[in-house]
Amino acid sequence: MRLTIKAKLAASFGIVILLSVIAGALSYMKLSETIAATQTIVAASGRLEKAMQLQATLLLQIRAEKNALLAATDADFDRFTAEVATLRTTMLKGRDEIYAVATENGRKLLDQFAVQYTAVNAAQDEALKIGRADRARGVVLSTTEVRKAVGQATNGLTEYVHYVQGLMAERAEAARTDGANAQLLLLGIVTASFIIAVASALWIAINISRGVGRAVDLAEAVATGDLSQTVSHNSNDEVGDLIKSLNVMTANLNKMATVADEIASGNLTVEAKRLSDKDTLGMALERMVEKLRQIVSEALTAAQNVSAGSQQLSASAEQLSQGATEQASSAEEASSSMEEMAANVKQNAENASQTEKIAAQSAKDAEASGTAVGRAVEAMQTIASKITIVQEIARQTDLLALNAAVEAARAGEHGKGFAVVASEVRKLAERSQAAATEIGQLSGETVKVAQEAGGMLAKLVPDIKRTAELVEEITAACREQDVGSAQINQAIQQLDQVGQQNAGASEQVSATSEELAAQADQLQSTIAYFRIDETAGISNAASPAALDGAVSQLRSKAASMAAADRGGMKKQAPAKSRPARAVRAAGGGGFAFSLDDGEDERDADFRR
Amino acid sequence: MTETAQYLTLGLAGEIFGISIRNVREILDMRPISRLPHAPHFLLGMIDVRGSGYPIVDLRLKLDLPNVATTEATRIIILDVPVGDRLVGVGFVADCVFEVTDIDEATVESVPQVGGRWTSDYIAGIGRKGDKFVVLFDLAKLMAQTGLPAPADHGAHAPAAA
Repeated sequence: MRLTIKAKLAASFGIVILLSVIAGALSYMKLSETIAATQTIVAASGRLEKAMQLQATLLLQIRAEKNALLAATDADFDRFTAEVATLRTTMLKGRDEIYAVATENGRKLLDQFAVQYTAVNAAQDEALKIGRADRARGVVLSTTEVRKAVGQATNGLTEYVHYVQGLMAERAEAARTDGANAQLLLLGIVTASFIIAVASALWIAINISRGVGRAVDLAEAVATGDLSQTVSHNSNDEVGDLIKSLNVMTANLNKMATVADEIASGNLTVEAKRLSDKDTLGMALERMVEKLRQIVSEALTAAQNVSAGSQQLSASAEQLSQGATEQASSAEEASSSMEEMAANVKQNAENASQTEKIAAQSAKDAEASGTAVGRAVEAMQTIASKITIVQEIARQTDLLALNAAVEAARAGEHGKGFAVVASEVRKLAERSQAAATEIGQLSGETVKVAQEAGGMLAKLVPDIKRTAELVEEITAACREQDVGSAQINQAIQQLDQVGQQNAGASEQVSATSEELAAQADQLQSTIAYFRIDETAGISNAASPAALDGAVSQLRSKAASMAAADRGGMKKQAPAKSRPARAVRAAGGGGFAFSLDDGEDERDADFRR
Repeated sequence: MTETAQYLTLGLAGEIFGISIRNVREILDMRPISRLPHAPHFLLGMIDVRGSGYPIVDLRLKLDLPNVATTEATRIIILDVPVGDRLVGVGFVADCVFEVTDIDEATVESVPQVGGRWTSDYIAGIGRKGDKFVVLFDLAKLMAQTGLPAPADHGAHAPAAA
């Protein structure tokens, strides 16, 4: 059965409250009894007082009787007699009041007193009746009979007073006894409830504080990072639940710590599982493992890339070295070529200035030719117009000859000789006409050709002028070329220096690539600390070999470069004792530098 | 010895025609022609040659050939045409005039007969010059086909040959 703190508290408080209720009820009861007793006593005291009043009233009645008997006049006698009657009424009234509230025993005593009082009244009435007539006799009667009855009545009343007094004493005693009993009972109940309350409070408080104290110790240990502790607590309540939860928490934290420890020791194959969707630590571990895997695989890829890059770098360094050598020879060739070019440029400049003069002269000549051709065209046009006249004459001559032939034919035999002449004339006319036509055609063609020649010359003139301008520009360009060739020479010298720097840089690059390879190797071995999963493991195992291959390839490249340098040095043997980077001025003004001095201590690092 | 006759040859629409030299009076260049009212379409008008007026006939229109524009070779041939019993001076417009030439009478052929009606009366014969035919005009019949206005003073200049 599960006794929770709530149940415990409810039980102990319930007991204490029950006891309190009992104590309260008891007190209430006893108080009620005490009140009742008090009321009884008060009522008894009221009756006692009334009895006292009755005694006083009786005495007053006796006094009024005596006064009446002692009265000097009858008026006074009557007045005191009336007073006696009034007092009697008061007496009876007071006796009835007491009787109404009296007890059984009291009523008996009061009945007894009533009889005695009646006797008193009767004796008194007798005495007064006699006394009216004879006072002295009345007084005698009063002092005998009446006194005797009064004495009995007074005794009866006193008896009742004593009875009431005794009753009061009895009630007071009973009330005192009851109160003492109730006091004892209340004291017992209060003591018991106090003991129960204290005991249960101590029990619950000790239980809670012990369990909570253990939980606090465990939480403090966890807070300071000690996850090794556990707490045993077998109570089946909230504190027990708390301690169980704390134990579960510690166990989970221990699992997390184990996972983190595995990661720290490089095992990335562990699976970090989140315990819930709000498990930030678990999610962080998950993400950490995932990111570490990714980073490690990326770092592996990067290391492989670095390896490949160092191979390419090695090849590039070799090419750079070759390029530097070629650059040196090219710079020499370029330098000599530039000298030739400078001479050519000067020659070009002179030729261009001559050409310029000639072109200007040609332009003038062409203009003169143009005007000459224009005149020729005019002359030819004149000839053509003249030729038409000749043609007309020839035509008319032909017509005349034809008419002459007609006349000769009509003349018959006589005209025969004339016909021959006419025929000859006609032939001449035809020939001259043909010749004139030919001349006309020729002159027309000549005019056309001359016009074309004129047009060509007209076009030629601007061309020649343009040529002169261009030649002028060429001259200017030649001067600029002269300046440019000087600059180019300077640039070639700078190129030579750059070549030297390139040679140094290529050596540095080869050293750097070796260093890079070593760094990649180190990176690889560093990354190998982390184990990811199987497939990654395979590539991980394969990549160092590739890296080694890359490094060895790089080293062989560097070695071949060094060997080439050494070979070059052997060919140019006398350069042995030179300082590093001997630079020799080439014949053409360029520079030839050798990369083969062999004085660099890094060269010893290369394998052959 | 074969008998020859002299002809003046002229070109008309690419063909060669011949006119007996006896009828030829003069050859002239083309010149302005004064037009005549109510003249037939082939009669171009009149010209004046040294004080004498001559009617001008366009041979192309006369022979129902298409009209062409005047060129430098176009000539006016002044002829003596026998009209009735007298000779009338008439100018013919020809495309060109070639020469005065001899044509063998023996080689002159008559007009070929092809049957049917064909107005070939104006052809006196077809002679040969080299390998080309020369159509010889019969001027009297050519001009007889149409009436000509008779100039008043024509007879005074008419040559004797007919």
